[in-house]
Amino acid sequence: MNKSSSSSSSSNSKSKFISENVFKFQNHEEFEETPTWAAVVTVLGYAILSALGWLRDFLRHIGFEEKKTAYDPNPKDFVPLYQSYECFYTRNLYTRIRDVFNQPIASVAGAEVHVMERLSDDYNWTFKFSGKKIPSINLGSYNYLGFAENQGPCSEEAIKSIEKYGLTTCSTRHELGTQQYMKELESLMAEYLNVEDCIAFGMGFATNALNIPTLAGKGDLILSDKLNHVSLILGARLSGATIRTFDHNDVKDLELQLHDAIIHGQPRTCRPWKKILIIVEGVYSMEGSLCRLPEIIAIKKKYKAYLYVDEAHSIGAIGPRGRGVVDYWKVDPNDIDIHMGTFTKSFGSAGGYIAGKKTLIDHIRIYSHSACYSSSMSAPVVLQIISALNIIMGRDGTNNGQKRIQQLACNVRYFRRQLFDMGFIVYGNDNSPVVPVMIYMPAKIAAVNREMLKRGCAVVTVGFPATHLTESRVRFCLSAGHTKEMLDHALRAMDEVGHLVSLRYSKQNPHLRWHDLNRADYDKEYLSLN
Amino acid sequence: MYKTKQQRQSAWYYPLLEVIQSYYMQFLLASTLYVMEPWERILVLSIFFLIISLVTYSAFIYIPFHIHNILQATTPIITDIFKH
Repeated sequence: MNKSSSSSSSSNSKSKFISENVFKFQNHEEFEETPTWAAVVTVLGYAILSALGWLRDFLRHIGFEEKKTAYDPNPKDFVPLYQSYECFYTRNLYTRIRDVFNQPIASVAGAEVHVMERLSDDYNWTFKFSGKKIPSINLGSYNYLGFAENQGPCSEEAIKSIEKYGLTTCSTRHELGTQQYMKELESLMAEYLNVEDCIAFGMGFATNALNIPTLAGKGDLILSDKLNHVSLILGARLSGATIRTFDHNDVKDLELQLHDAIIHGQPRTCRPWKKILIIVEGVYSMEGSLCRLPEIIAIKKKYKAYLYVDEAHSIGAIGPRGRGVVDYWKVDPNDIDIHMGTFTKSFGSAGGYIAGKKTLIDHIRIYSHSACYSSSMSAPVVLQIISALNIIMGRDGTNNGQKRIQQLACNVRYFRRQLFDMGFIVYGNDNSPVVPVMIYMPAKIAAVNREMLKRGCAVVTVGFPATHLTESRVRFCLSAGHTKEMLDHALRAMDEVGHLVSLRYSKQNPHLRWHDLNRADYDKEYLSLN
Repeated sequence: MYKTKQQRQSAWYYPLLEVIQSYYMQFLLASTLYVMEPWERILVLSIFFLIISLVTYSAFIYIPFHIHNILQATTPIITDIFKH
């Protein structure tokens, strides 16, 4: 199916365009700059809260106020345990708005979710459940293709598998844990990604953290993007290799670092590096940006480095056939040495995989910590993935999978375009299903979340330490399970909240209300692709 | 099941009240008074007003004297010109 390139181009020097003569579609990625007044007000706000935090800490220290957190008794001659900024931040800033984070839910986290209401008497130090369940549109789950449902073919397969295989194999992969369904999953996944072989693990985080040490070690160089996920950073640190970072999605910086690394060699001995591994992600979940795969592949071939692509958020969600960034940029899968991804996001299950050449996967099967020591995946989890894969690839006879992928693409374009035109600052690529909208100020994080929940939308708002101190945002995750009415409701709610809380920061686009937008344009665009 | 806020146009002062409420909310958010407990709000506002009143008081008392000084030193007196 051809993607229609209908995204309008705002020719601002701050946005980055890829040259159009290389690709058939237009790939527009934009990160508008922070307005100065917003940055100043944010920093002043944090200063006021820090000063207040010092005052409260002092009052707790002299005993005027009661201490509600765990504290170390600070015995004489001992170094204090807690002195970092993060503890101070958690005690004084995070606890004030703690009711908007970690909200418990009471139903399956599909396109709609029931959020349990929590009340607090003492300003978020303790919570009580009121028993009320708030039905709301789920804009926070990574449910990109809508497979997180408790009815339908996938869940029936999972239930049947429990009756056939039981819940667990009680063993690791190296011992008696390789079941028949694992072999089926791995061969199916290898076919899906168009590579030679694949291996699957029980946990997505652990796939990164425990397998990068098998691939790199002392005497190697790891070049990772500045905004990589914690699992990649942890894996790189565990491996013992030298780690250097390059600016986010900046191919020139990467080339400069590679150039310097090859010329100067290892830090003290100046010997050549044993291998150089470049680690990038397909879709960055906090920015919504896609990696520049063709350019990175060109550089990697020129300097003979290895490439590791983490497609956690992009597998199933990006690309005309849902095969991830490899499909989106139309590159040869054999050019990327290690494909990695997770089953948590688009397939509605849990776990991770690594795919590539057979020799590589054979090495990982023997030397990986995860394959050797962690127990293998359980039957319902794997059968859910297998049935989801069959639906996406069209093996079950219907075109349900292709319809879901197209529905997601429609939803993404519709939602992003309207938010952008209303005057919000939206980061990221036009095609990514992760939509971060900037809110900057610390008090607005709580206000946006509470007001959106009042209007029936459950969103995820993130601040420090997941993002930069002054760049807090609300991150929408769209799904193929969202209908047009749900998106309209969410947009109306966001419009009202944006007006109440004043979130329209954009300098490029005029600030419009939702009823000011021309409905006919967007409806036409939405229906034309179905 | 899902509700968004409805506008009430019944009385003439409701739009005005809404505008004032919206500005009050934005003031609370931009100054981070929104997340503070009531006694903290009073404390922060009173410190802020104390500083403002100190600066205004100093301005009222000291600026006229300084302006008078400067004018006296820089503008030439007409009688001096006639004498010389």
